[in-house]
Amino acid sequence: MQRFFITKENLKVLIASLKKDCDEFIAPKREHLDDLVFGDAKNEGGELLEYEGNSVISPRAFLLPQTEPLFEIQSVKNCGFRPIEDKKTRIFYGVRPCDIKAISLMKEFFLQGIEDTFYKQKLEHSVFISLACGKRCFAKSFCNLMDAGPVAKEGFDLQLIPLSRGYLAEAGSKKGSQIIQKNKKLFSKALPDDEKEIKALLKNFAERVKKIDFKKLANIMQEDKVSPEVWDDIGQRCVVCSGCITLCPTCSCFSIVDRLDGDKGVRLRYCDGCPYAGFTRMAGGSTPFPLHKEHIRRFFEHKLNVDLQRYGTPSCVGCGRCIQACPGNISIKKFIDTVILNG
Amino acid sequence: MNNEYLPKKAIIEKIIQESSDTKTFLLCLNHRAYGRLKYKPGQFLMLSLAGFGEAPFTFASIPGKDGRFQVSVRRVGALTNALHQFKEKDIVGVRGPYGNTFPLEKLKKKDLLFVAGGCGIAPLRSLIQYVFKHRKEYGKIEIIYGCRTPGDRFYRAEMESWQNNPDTKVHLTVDEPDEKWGGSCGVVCVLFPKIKLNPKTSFAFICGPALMIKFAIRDILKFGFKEPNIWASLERYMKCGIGKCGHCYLKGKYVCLDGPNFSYSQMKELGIEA
Amino acid sequence: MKRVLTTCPYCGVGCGFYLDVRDGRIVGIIPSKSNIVSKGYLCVKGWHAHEPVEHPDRLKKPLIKENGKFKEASWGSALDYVAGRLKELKDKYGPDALSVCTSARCTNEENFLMMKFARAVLGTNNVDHCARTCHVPTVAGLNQSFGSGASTNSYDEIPFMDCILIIGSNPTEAHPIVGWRVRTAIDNGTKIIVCDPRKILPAENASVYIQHYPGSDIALINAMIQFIVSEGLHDKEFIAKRTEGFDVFWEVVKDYTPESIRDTTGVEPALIKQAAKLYATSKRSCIMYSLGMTEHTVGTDNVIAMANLSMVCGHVGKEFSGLYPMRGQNNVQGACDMGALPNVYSGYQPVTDEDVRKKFENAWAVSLPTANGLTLTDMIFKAIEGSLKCFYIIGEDQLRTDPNTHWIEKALDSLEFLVVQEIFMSETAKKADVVLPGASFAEKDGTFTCAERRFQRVRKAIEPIAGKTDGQIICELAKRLGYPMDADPEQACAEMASLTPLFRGVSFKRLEENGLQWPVYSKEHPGTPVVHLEKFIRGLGKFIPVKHKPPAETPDSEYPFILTTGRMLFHYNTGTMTRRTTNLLREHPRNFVQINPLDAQKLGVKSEEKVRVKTRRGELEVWPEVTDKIKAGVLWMPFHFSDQPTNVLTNNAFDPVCRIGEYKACAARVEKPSS
Repeated sequence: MQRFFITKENLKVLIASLKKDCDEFIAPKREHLDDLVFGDAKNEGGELLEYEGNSVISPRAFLLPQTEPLFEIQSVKNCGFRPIEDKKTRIFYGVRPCDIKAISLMKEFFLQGIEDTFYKQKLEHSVFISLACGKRCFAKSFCNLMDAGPVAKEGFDLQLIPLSRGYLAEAGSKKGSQIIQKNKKLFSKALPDDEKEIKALLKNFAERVKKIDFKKLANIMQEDKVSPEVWDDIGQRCVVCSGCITLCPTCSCFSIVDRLDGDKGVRLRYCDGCPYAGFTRMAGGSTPFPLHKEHIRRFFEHKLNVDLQRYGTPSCVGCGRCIQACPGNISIKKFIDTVILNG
Repeated sequence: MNNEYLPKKAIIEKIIQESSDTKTFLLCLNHRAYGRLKYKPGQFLMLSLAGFGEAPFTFASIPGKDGRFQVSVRRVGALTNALHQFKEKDIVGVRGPYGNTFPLEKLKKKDLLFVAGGCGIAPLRSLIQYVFKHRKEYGKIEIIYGCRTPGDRFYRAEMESWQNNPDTKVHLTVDEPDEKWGGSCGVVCVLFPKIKLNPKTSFAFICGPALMIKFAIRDILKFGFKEPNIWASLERYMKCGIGKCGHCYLKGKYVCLDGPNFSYSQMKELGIEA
Repeated sequence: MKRVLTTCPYCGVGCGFYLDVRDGRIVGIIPSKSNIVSKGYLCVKGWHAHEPVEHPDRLKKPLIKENGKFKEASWGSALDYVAGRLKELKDKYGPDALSVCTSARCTNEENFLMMKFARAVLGTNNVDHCARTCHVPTVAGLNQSFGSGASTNSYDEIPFMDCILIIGSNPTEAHPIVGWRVRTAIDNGTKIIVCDPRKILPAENASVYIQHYPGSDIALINAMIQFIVSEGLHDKEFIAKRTEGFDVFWEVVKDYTPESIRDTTGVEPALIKQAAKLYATSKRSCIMYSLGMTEHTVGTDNVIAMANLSMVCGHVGKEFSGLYPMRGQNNVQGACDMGALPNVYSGYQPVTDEDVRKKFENAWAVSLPTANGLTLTDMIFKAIEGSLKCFYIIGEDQLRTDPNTHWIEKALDSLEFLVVQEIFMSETAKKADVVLPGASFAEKDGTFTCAERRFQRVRKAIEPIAGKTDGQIICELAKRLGYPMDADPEQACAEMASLTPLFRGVSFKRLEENGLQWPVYSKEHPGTPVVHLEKFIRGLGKFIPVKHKPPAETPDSEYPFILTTGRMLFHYNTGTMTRRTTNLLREHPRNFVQINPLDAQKLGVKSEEKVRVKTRRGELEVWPEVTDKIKAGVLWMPFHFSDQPTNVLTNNAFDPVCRIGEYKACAARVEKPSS
């Protein structure tokens, strides 16, 4: 793959031109004190070209929002539904490699078998520009262990890797190549020194870590060899806040609910998932998973075991958001370490 | 764009009160607009009531004229309560069919045992009707059906007619008999000794409450049925029917995609043991 | 598209989050990592706080009752009508026939305006709010002992304690983000003592778990003090230098040996001694309590007992110590602070103090009533008696929150005029003559004050769904009654600060970042994370002897159980918001009663069959939850379910000092519905 170079100044020019080509330019912004949140910079401005750390909530919030109207209910009696279409074109700028990996996994999930129209529609109108990480974003993240950082391998349209003198740019898709093509003047050829700098960056990330044996981990879980105390402890800690499933960039579960005001209303889908007992409880009240620890187990097993079998890679991308938000101090990283160590 | 989540309109043509809390709805899709609904025994559909959401129901019949179909609905929650208020000619939304069917080819020439508890008879009825429609292709048939009370029995008239098919037996049992009841009492398992099928080659189909399925499988295994030949229809909470919403996810499988009908060998892989 | 930083509208912890607004709709919640209270953590209610805001059930138009039926009215005609009736009743019966119940769900600024409305416009001190049914004993009790009725320390000290005594509080469920700090403390090795009739989650990891009977708290605490002092584990220097009244106090407490109160509490003496020793000898010990202590006929005494315990050990008036009263509502601390109480103006300035009153009279250019007003509890009594004619209720559902529903119903029916300002049609609102549609937290600017005395900003994300904020409604009524008031929240905050020494330094500008913890005596004052540092606000800490008194109603052969009530994780108070949140309702859709397996066995109660819970005041059919987490002989019920209201059972017996009802202990029986 051919790599290019772009200066900081030229990147600003590129962004200004990209903003013209989309309805929403979704970029990291600082909200209030220090909180990093993705928002629209086309109309509001305020985007960060470069930043440390990662956003509180992943860009997933724009592809699978916490609540999303699917249909307008035109009539209860006549059972009239009209799909609410989101045809906005979006350019996502500054997405971290962990979230890029998450988006590729989600894409595979939502488009396999019977396609999810609503997700697909948004995805087709989106361009993803990844911004690789120069540093570990915070103590609880472990993307490098989950094959998801600090540089994205695939799934982006365009990737920028920060260098001392600017950014290395690489296209990951046709859309990305077109951006470079269209703005040729802003890019130059990458130099051997740039490549060296990136190698050093990757080496630096790799140095402190011991690789996780995903297969071993998955086998231990598959064979139900995780010690029961580990599950008991997790079951006791979880207070069903639902923060993990809302923040996780690869959680895709949802529920559908109708909101009616008189004869009209809206059919919504909203974020839902494993921690709730009600997630699997049936209308009559019976539930296949009565114990609370089973709910979190389902969550972990999906990420670390089932998706490894399904996609060849675990769907935990190591962003650490679930750890950071858990009022029970549950850590999937600690879980992985414990299981591997005792397995 | 083809939107899988968009419900298609279907008209309620007939409503039959099956028991105090269950009604059967005969539905007809607007086939001029959408084409005929084609489905196989054991599959299910998502039924939509605008304002009350969606819920999965298994087809309770084989397709009729112009793809007409039936669903039997017990009143258990908000949606089913609302549906029970609906009248003939009212319109509901449907999408599907979803899910798998039974290994229909493998069943040919084999003896078949059906075990249903309560409203578990509804999902099995589509297969039973299918088999009777092609009666000559199958061996002996025995149907075991257990309910709480005699008044809770579904499809009473039709069940009488099943009896009249060659080589077919229907056994009934209730938990709480009334004075008029002359049949067996107790759970479905009490009827197993009456079965006169060859367990080595026969297939069994079970549907009912989770506990009943568990005990029935256990007894049928003891009886000598082979694990791959025992099939059960699993009930799970689900919202999408197409393997996306995650409610019915089970160890890497989705009940809505890979099921709802599983052989006992498959169930064991999913961690469901009898 | 915008993200609006605001403060959670549920419990008193005061978490911060952004409302994710797109195309004028709130689509989600984004936690604020930079918020000092919540640090990016939220509980399940917070994660769904946006859902009720735009619920189709929201009241959107004023409603006036005609011939028993509500009719929609325009704002103009509804406000004219309310103002007219208020004036008519005031002229006919005098101002003290009118009363205002403000809302702990509303902002500080709105509460200030409401109390000003009651006092300056209606001319009565009959203003109160729901603290009367939760933490008024804290205000009354700690005020006597320390001189200030609020939390002494800050949340962030909790994870670094050596010992936390949790009594009558369930932080995991009722205050989840303080629960997170308790969890972190446990992970840090902090020793936990839990005293509760229910084996709550922290009890699973507790060093000592004491399962005492509801209503035996004073006996338990006095016995701990008795043991501490008789073992010489008390802080003699602290007692000598910082407190007064110890000797008189000791004369009363010295007889409470752990052995002597074994039957009263149902607890082994050894356990009490173990707990007492752990609390006294740990270097950093604090007490966390909540409504399990306050909602008793001895609520004030319970609070004083804990203050005594903390002073005996010197575990107050320094960092990493103190008392944490966990406040129930988002702004119940603030509503108290703003003077939405019958006896004080903002900042706890007595209405009976002439200098104070003069200050307010000058500022407001009216003459103000001189005597204390009626408490919420006494308003109910007076309504039934007939001397109270009009009740203006904002954001509270007395018919579901107050003890003995039938009694409250009688009071509301006795009124000549009832106005209810609400966001959803509550049971109380159904009784009203006029219902005015209020605004939720997402539709207004202002401040909330959380349980660690921290003022935090609330910011408007969407326009008021019914057109007006609660402050605007009050001000428009005031204008119609001939006294113009300014509804602008920043203006109201400035006025409040100028009149209140305790909050003088508070302004919107200074609250932009992480708020301020009061006292804030001046524009330069940095706020006060720990109160009573060098000396107590009242000077010396005061030992006040308190004695065990049994609850107003104790078990007997006819009603052999003690029924106690509480809050659960997935619901909030009367559930008007949480029951309109799909996943919260799904998680716990109905009322239930917890009963110990031993009791269940004796009575033949099975989980699959409903039972009837009966008290002298009412009965309810609910599902039983048979669990050994509840002490034998005790029943526990949540109070969130409007359709199965637990408060038809509870006892309208009240604390003599602060008039709180006894929700936490009454006598009950369990029957099978068939019998």
